[in-house]
Amino acid sequence: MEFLLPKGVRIIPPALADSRERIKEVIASVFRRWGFRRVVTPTFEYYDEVYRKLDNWLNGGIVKITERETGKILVLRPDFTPQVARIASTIMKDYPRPLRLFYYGFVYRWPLNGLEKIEKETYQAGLELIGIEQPEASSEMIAIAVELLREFKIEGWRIVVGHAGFTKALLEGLPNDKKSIVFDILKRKARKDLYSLDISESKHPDILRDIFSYAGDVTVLSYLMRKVEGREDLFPIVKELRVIYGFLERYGLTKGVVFDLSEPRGMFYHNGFLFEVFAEGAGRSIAFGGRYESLMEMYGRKEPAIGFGVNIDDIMDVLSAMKSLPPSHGVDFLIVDTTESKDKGVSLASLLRSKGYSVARDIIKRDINDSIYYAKTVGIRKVLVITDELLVMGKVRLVEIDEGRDMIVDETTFVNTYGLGRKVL
Amino acid sequence: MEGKRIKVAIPKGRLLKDVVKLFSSIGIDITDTEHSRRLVFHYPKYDISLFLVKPFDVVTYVKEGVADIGIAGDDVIEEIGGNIYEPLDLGFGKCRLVVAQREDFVMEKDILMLKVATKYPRITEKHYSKKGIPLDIIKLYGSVELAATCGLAHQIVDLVETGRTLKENRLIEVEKIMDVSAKLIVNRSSYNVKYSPINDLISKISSVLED
Repeated sequence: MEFLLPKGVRIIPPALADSRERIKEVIASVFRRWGFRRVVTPTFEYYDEVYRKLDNWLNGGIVKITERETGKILVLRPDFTPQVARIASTIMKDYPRPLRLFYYGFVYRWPLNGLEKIEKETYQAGLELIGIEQPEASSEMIAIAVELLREFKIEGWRIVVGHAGFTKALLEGLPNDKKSIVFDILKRKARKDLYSLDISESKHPDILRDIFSYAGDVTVLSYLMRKVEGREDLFPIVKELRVIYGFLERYGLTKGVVFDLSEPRGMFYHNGFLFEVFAEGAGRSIAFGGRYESLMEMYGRKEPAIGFGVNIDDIMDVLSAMKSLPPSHGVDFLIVDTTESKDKGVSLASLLRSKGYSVARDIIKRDINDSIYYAKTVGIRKVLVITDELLVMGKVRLVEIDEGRDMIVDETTFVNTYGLGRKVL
Repeated sequence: MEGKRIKVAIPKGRLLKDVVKLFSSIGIDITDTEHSRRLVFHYPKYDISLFLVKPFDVVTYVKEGVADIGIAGDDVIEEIGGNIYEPLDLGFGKCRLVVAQREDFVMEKDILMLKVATKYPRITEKHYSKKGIPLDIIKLYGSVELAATCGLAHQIVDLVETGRTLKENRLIEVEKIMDVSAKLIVNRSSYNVKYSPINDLISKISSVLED
């Protein structure tokens, strides 16, 4: 018998699973703090027009199964954003705007041609802000991302801001095959390949030629603004980014925010402001998002929408590199009751549980040192030992593993210490 | 973090001499990599560390972010693939990836299955997929020419620098798939998180390349 796991899925033992859930909770609490409310979306959906497009864009990366009763193709949720976009334009279409929605859960994808990450199942959290076209909505996305980074005490990060419309406008005028060549060059930042290519058919050959120099701090925008003045397709984009940055200046959140107008990355539905968050310890971006009006339009409701998602396991990688993973909850007490009736053990256990402590009973008959060893190994912090001999004297034995203490205490003292108030977190 | 050490994956073998030369031209002496069996080299003086890896593995180290930057040929970049930046063509390690076969091999019109031996199964599959020929790719780890000579495969896909090896094995080049030269590759996260040191290094290298 073999116990192989498919590649790209994870099994997470208890201590790490605790850390992961805590990370998710921190993210969710930051989202709530900004007025976002959770929506739950289904794991399967029909393979409709939107997913067909996404699948194409992912090179067939969507995981598909068939529905038994209809024979229709179902997809395992490859992305939350289309689901939330659909909720917003269908069951929540009459809700007053703006909608502030967040989600967390798993997304499933086959690895992109084996090129990209190998995970098939990723744990994501993200939010969508629907119905605000003002640039300040974009600034809010960055502000929330910065708050997440601060909450996790991640340092040395960078937020790279771009615009899907900018590179698109530069490619305008080029024949389609050349468009995809240039697109590929931009993705790779292959300067020399760009210089050796004839791009004179582009609507803006002068900007496209120097595209790789339009990356850096905000001065790039000021320079570019003068350069594209009067160009109706480019100027408003640069100006929008400058306005977004202006709000960040007012919030005091410009540190670590840079621009890269040559970056063409984004999901197929992104059509405006884009940003990516990078931090040490993860070899790829840990958060990513942007504007996606075109997706809303596909669901029949043309309205502004913006959002971003966080890969929870990437945050885990970063925190683990920083050696600051949130600690496991562990277990507070192991109760070892060697008496015949077990009455005391059962009643103390239920008292402690009612006060918020986690309590496991040993049940197995074994040497008391083996029980203590067990507690130590599985992460139980205290062992409470109850025996007939101790009970006669009204006493219990308390072993505090972290503190290295082993003492005999009055049962009443124990109850007064732990059984009166609720557990302090 | 800014100012932190840059981790560089450099390829053992054919390209190493040129890499050492390139680094020395920007004032970084890494000659000890040529005469040692160590795999990791620290140069606190220049704020860099080097990992000496097989040419095929450079891209893997960089795309996973274990190394911030690396030096790899287009053949390896294309074969391994990944979401990486390739800001500089270093101009050395020039060669080409070609399809070759025995001088006397004639492709039949209705060939049942074309057998192609290569170290580059992905590039090979992509290349032949445009032709619509039923294909059997035989993955080899070296001396690929031999596969065509001794009849293991009808054709081979391999790197050719001068063409001498092909000639000596009585093979002829029938098609060029791509030109290859060494590229400086950069992990996207490192590019942003270590922006200043990496960009300083890129401009230093770029200035000596232009000379």
